[in-house]
Amino acid sequence: MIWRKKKKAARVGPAALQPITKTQELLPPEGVPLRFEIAPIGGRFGAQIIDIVITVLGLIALMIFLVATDLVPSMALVSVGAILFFMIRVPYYAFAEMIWNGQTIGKRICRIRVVSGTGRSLTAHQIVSRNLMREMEVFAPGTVLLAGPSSFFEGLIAFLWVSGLLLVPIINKRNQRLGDIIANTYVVQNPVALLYPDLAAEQPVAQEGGYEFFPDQLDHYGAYELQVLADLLQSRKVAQKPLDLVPIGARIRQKIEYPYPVARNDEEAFLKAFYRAQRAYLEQKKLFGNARADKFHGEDKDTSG
Amino acid sequence: MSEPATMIRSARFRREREADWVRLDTILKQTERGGVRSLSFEDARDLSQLYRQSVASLSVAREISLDKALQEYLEALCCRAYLAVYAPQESVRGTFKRFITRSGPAAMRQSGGAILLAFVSMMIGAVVGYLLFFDDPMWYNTFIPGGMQGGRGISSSREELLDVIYGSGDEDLGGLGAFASFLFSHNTRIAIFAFALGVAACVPSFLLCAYQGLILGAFFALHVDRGIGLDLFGWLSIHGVTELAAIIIATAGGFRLGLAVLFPGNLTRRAALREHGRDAAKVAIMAALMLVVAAILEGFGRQLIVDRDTRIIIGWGVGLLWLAYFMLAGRSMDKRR
Repeated sequence: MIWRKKKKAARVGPAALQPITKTQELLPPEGVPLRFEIAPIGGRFGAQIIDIVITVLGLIALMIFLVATDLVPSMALVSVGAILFFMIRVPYYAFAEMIWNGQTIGKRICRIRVVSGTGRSLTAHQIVSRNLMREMEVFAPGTVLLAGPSSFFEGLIAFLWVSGLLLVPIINKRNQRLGDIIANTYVVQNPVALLYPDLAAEQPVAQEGGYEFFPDQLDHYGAYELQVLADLLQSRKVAQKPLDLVPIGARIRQKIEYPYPVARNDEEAFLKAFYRAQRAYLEQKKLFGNARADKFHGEDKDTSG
Repeated sequence: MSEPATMIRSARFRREREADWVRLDTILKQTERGGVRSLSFEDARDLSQLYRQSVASLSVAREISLDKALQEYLEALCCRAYLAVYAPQESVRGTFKRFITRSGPAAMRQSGGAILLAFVSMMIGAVVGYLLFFDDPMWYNTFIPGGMQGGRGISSSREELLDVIYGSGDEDLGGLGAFASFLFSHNTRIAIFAFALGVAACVPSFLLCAYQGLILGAFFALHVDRGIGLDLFGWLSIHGVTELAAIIIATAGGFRLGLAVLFPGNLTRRAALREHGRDAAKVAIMAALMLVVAAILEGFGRQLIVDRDTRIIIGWGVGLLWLAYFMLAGRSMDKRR
């Protein structure tokens, strides 16, 4: 949430460009906080829809069986259906999340999952209470609405109840619904780990020999610009159409006042060499307590004192 | 390690550890597909060790490395490993067994005060309802809306009332139908809302529970007025002991939540709610189980058993069993809590 705390009007810097994803830190017993990306409302909604479809399909299959075997008289069909739906739904969510480590089928498809806010395993208590609260939040008043409320007043209360509680996860900073707050759980994105090759691993080969940079040339940029450059160089390998690096290189050379010309074919080698030198320089600075977040690091000194 | 001297520090750091991360990654892929049980002995052994190593690497990388790709990879890898290592360790069956034998009854004992409070509020309602009926029978119609009276109004004669009590009643619904319509009935809704609304400082729960008592009192008074109080007592006993107890217990669960909001003690309200919520959820599940039992008794027992004394014995016998279960089950484990 750093992007929120910064003064918004002060500047249009990289802080404004950072992706607006909510994250939640969990502290496992190992003592290193892990950052999880909070699942977006859309993903949760989608997962919920899929799960409801699955449970309703189960209900329909069971009802067809009951009607075909003539076990239930048609008079009691609606109430039997409502009870069976409840009896399928509650165990489905609770058992699925217990067996699949915080994922139901819908959550699996939408690549989200439930994690415990305690930094340890999800406990049965957490899973049960967050799923029981869902009954209170949505299904119990929803059933009243669908079954036809006995009075206008009752219908109004049920409607306000549902809509009010559906707003909770939208307003909440961590997209928690009431059940999540009570059970101390978060719904997060499934983490995906992709390892790109290290750009600074080897010395780039250029036809006319190595490039050298002086400290004053490396003073211009900060970590943010470095990582943008890394992204550009990485995506060059992934993308179908190669990115034209010449204007980027020219821009950098102009900024750092690099005196020598660079051949067109050597542009990538130059950028890699610059990336490597810049990273080594910034990491060294960081190690000695002078972390530079972006190219405004010089100005920051005045304000942060 | 071709040329470690010329490599920059963070690149060297990465090169030295990358093989371990890749190995952890493959173990994790296997775990995510088939669970921890599908791992071989070596993989399972290495999983936790590699997890701790990677977490340590992450901690270092955050400090020394500006390689964004590396940081993102390690963050995600550690998160995945954390999820694999700290997966729920309880089986579904074990959890259920523990609830039934230990934690459920223990939560009931912990909530004794709240249960007493709920019982008192229902009794207040019952006494008031009973007295008001004799004051003016028209109160009956005020307390019990027409739809719920089921043909038993203030104008019903003694014979009509007896017919409902000993007659076969909703025969056309059949056992399962009666079972379901019972669960879907008024009382279950009262129980659900008495629990859920308890968060609002106990007041709605108290009102609902007292209202339920009011209905009970007026209903009872009607039958006493016709001189068949004991017959109604038997009719109500067979399922009512369990059912009314379930409503009281659900209300008690609501009270636990409300009390946490009203008197959080040294905790914040949120923490107190969480703390009391542990017991309240268990109490609510217990109430749900009791409602299911009451539905079975209502759906099948009431039609099969028409003798008054047998009804009383069965109803209160089941009530005693509940009491014994809540008081005695899992007692030896209480000290460990």
